[in-house]
Amino acid sequence: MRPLAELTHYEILDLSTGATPLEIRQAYKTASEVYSEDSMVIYSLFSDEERKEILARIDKAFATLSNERARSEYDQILIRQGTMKEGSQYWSAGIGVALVDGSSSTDLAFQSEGEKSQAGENLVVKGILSQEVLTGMDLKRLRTELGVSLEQIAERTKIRPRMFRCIEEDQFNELPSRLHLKSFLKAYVQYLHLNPESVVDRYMKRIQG
Amino acid sequence: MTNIWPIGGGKGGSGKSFLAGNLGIWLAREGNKTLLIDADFGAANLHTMIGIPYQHKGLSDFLNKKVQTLAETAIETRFPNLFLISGAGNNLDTANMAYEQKMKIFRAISKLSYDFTLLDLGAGTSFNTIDFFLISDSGIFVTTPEPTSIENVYRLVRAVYARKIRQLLKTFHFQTLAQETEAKTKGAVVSNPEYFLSVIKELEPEKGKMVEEALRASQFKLVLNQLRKQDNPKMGILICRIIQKHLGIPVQFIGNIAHDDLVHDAVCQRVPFLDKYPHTQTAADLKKFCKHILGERSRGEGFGPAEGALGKAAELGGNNGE
Repeated sequence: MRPLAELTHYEILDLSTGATPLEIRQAYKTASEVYSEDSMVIYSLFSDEERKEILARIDKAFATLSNERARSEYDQILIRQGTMKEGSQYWSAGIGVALVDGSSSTDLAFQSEGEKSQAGENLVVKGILSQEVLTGMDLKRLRTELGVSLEQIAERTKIRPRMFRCIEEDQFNELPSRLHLKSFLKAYVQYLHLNPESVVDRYMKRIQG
Repeated sequence: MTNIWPIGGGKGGSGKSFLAGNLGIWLAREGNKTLLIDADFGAANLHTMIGIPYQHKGLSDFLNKKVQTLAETAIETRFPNLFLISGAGNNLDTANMAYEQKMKIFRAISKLSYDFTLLDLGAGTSFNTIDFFLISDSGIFVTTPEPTSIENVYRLVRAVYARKIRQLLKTFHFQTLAQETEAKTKGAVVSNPEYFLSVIKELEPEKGKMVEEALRASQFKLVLNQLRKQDNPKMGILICRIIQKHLGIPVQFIGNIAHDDLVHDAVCQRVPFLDKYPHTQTAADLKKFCKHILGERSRGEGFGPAEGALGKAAELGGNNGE
C-alpha cells in the first residue's frame, strides 16, 4: 500500500502500462463516476476535499495518458525510474501505429488487430463496430458509451459542436460540403480513438449508396 | 481441522444469517459435514433461517460449563450433514464476553471435526464481532448496495484489519512498537492500519515485513447481497478495488446475490430459501457462492495466522481420520 501521491498515472486509473486508448478512456469514465459526489462506492470514505484531490489526480492522469505525445514522454520517465519496463509501452506492443510525429493525430488510429482487442472490452462498442453500416445514431451511441461530450470534441478539434450534431442526426445537407462532412467525421472518430478510415467509410457508404 | 469461515458485515439486515444458513445447507448437501455457529450474541436467529424452532441448548452452555465440550452443544438439523450450535439461549452477558471466554471458544472451534464451520456474526464493529474474524485467515464480508451498508462494511474491514495487526504484534511481542507508533500519531493503530504498517516498517523494517507477510495470508472476501435490477452489477468489484487502493487491504469479490422478494417470503414461512425456491436467480447466485467456498477448501485454514502451519498439519490428520 503506497500513498496516493506515489501512484503512477496508470495505477491511479487501474490500468496496465500497455493499455489501449479506449481502455484509458473507459477507465477514466469509471474512475470519474466512482469518485463523483453522489457515488455510493466510496460512501463515507473521504472528505469532500480528499475526494476532489483524488479527482484532480485522475484528471491529470487522463490528460497525460490520452495525449500520445504526453503519454510517451511520461512512459520514458517511468522507464528511467525503473517503474516501467522498456517494451511494455502501448506503442511498442505492436498494437498501435508507431509514433512518427507526436503532432500528427493520425497516430492515434488503431490497426484492425488492436480495434478488435480493445472493442472486446465493451459489448456495446463491440456490437456497433461490428456493423456493416454506421448511422449517426450509432456514432452517438459510441460517443455516449465512451463518456465523451460533443463539447469536448469541439474544444479539441476547434470544430463547432453543431457540425457534429448534424453528423449524429444524419443531416448531411446542413454541412458546407461532402468534403467537410468527411473531415469533420474523421476528427470526431479520431477523438474517440477509433479506426478513422473504417468508421468513416461505413458511415459514408449510406450517402454514396 | 475444520475450514472456518466467519461471516460478517457491519450492518444489520444485510443478509449474514441468510447467507450463512443457505451456504450451510448447500455445503451439507454436497456431502460436507458442516457446522453453523450462531455467534450473533443477543440477536441470534440463525436457527429460524434453517427452519429450526427456538433452541435452549447452545453456545452459552459451553461457556457456563453446563457441558464439558463445545461439540456437545451442536444439534442435528433436518438436513443430513448439517449441524447447528445455536446462539439463541445466550443471555445478555454473553453479548459482552470477556477475551478469555472468546479464546476458549476459538480453541474449541478449531478442534471440532467438521469439514466446514460457518460463523454467523452480529452487526456492528464491537470487539465481540471482529474478534471472531481472528479465528481464521478467511472471512466473508456481506454488504448490500446501499450507502448505509457500504459505510459499515468499510468500517468493519478497517476494524478487522487493525485487530489482526494487533494480534500479530502480540504474537511477535511487538507491544513496544505499537506504543511507539501510537505515541507518534494518536489513534493510528486502530483508525489507519495502512499508516500503522508503514510506521512499523520505518521503525523496524524486519518486523514490519513479517507483519506485512502475515497479513497477506488473510483471505478476505466480499459478497454483494440483495442486488436489484437497477443496481450497478460492477459495484462489488469497485468496492474491493477501493478497499485495496485506499485502505491497502486485499479483499476478493466473490459475486452478487440477486434480490428477490421471495426471500422475505421464505423467512416468514421459516423455511430455507434454497429448499423452497431453487429455480430463482438468487438460488443460482447462492450456488455459485457455495462453489467458490468449496474451491477455497484446499487452502487449509489455521487458527490465526501465527498457527497456520500447525493448523495445516492438524487438518491433514483430521482428514485421515474420517
